[in-house]
Amino acid sequence: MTEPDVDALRGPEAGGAGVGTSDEVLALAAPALDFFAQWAEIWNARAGVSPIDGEQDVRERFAANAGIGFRKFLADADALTHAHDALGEARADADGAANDLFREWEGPAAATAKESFDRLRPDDLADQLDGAAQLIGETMTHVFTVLKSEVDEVLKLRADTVAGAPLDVAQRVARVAQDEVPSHDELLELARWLDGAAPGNELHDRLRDCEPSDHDYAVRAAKQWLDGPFATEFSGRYAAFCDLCSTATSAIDEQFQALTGFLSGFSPDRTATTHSSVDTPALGLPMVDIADPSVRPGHPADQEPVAVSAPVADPGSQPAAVSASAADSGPATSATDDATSASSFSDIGTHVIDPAPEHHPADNELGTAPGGDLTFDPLGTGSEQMPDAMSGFGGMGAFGAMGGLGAAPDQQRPAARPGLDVFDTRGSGGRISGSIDDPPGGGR
Amino acid sequence: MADTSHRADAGAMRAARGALEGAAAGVTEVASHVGVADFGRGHGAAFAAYSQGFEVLSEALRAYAGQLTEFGGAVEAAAGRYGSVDEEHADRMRRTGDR
Repeated sequence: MTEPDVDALRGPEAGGAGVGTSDEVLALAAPALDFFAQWAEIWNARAGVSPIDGEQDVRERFAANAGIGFRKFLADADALTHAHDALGEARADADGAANDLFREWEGPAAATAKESFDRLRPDDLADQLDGAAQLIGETMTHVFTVLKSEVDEVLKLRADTVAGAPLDVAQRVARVAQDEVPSHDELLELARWLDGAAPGNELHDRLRDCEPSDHDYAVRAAKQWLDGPFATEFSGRYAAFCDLCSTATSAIDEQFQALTGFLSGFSPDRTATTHSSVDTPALGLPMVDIADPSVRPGHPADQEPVAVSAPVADPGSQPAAVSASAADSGPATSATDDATSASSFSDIGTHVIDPAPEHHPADNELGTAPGGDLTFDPLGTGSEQMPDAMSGFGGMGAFGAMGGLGAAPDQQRPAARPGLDVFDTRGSGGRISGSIDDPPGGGR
Repeated sequence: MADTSHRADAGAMRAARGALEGAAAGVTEVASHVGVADFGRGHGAAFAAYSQGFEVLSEALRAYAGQLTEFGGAVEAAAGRYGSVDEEHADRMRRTGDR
């Protein structure tokens, strides 16, 4: 009996080395499967037993772990590692760009933009990519180890004889038990063997000068061996085989569950906020209704000069924001939708300008409550429950946790004051500087 | 009154946008090579969660890239708005002087 060299198997390795699929491991158990399939026929010769189907109960049972594609899983691990590295490089590049940017851009808007940029930290995502890549590799190694052990143990269950009988003898005994009586000489030979295997019957002596009716005695002796020593030993081996199959399948199931549990355990950090009164205006600057083109500078419909104002509130305190348009004389409700749409980076530019003071409603009507912005930040941190409706990834402003980029607060700001709220513009070559404290006209 | 002065360099802001877009373009998605059959005959039930896990990672990667791009676009838009505001002031000052 030549034993397959299970130890010579190389586990799955990145780059395609080692075994490619579980089939390559399981194939080494073929001699053991043949053993059980062949000896199952002897088992099935017994009257009244549950038959063992060599195909279904042996080969198919053992094949429950067939088909596992180690190589493809490891290709996934490689892809995750690549994505992790690319993410790290992208983050480093973005950080470099931001450093350059904020050396040249200062002021309340820049400060808020920097805060927002600093929130773009995909640490959890990077950890998940790295962790998943490692876990996939480890899972494949564990699965391979389980399969190798299964094959090892199953091969140990194989034997050249069962209850002392080689297969050919057992087959002859089984035929006698099924009342297929062989020639007298063959029966005597078999009786001698049975006397040794199941002492006490003295079958050979009785059959040597037997009467034809003594054949029944031979049948009973054969059945005795089948139901006794053979059944005991073979059922033990078969039960062990079944246990090994189910144990290996369960162990591999657990490995896959751990892997999928890790993968499922990751959901981008989310923040669902409903700040109806404490929202930070976008980049610290007042918000303008960009949906109404009439408020844009230079628009033909805008006959009055548009006052440009710096944030009125102290940057150190909760900044105020105004969400209103020149055409919108309503106090609050009309800007609600815009507050939602402004919760993204794309609105940063729209917040650099404020509508003309004469377009503001009365002071006590300026505050535009957005009705609560709702942002979902896949990369930031937050523990609040994400609404079901926001379970996707679209529209994820990175400003979520800071109250929403364009969220207009309930807080009200005074109307822009002509003169005081107008920037002193000293633009030069793309550089624009200004201060709310500067008087108009550039006289500092 | 708190100092709310600012300094902005439109060129630097536009350059940042380009650099951020470049960084975003470097973010790669992850596509799984594994199909349900690769889980073997007895473990196909794990495929759905595995596949979903990859989709979530891909979506998060796309989201990060999108946020970098969006941030860059917003910075560029801010640069444009600063420029518009400057022109607006210049125009207003001219008209003030005309009266």
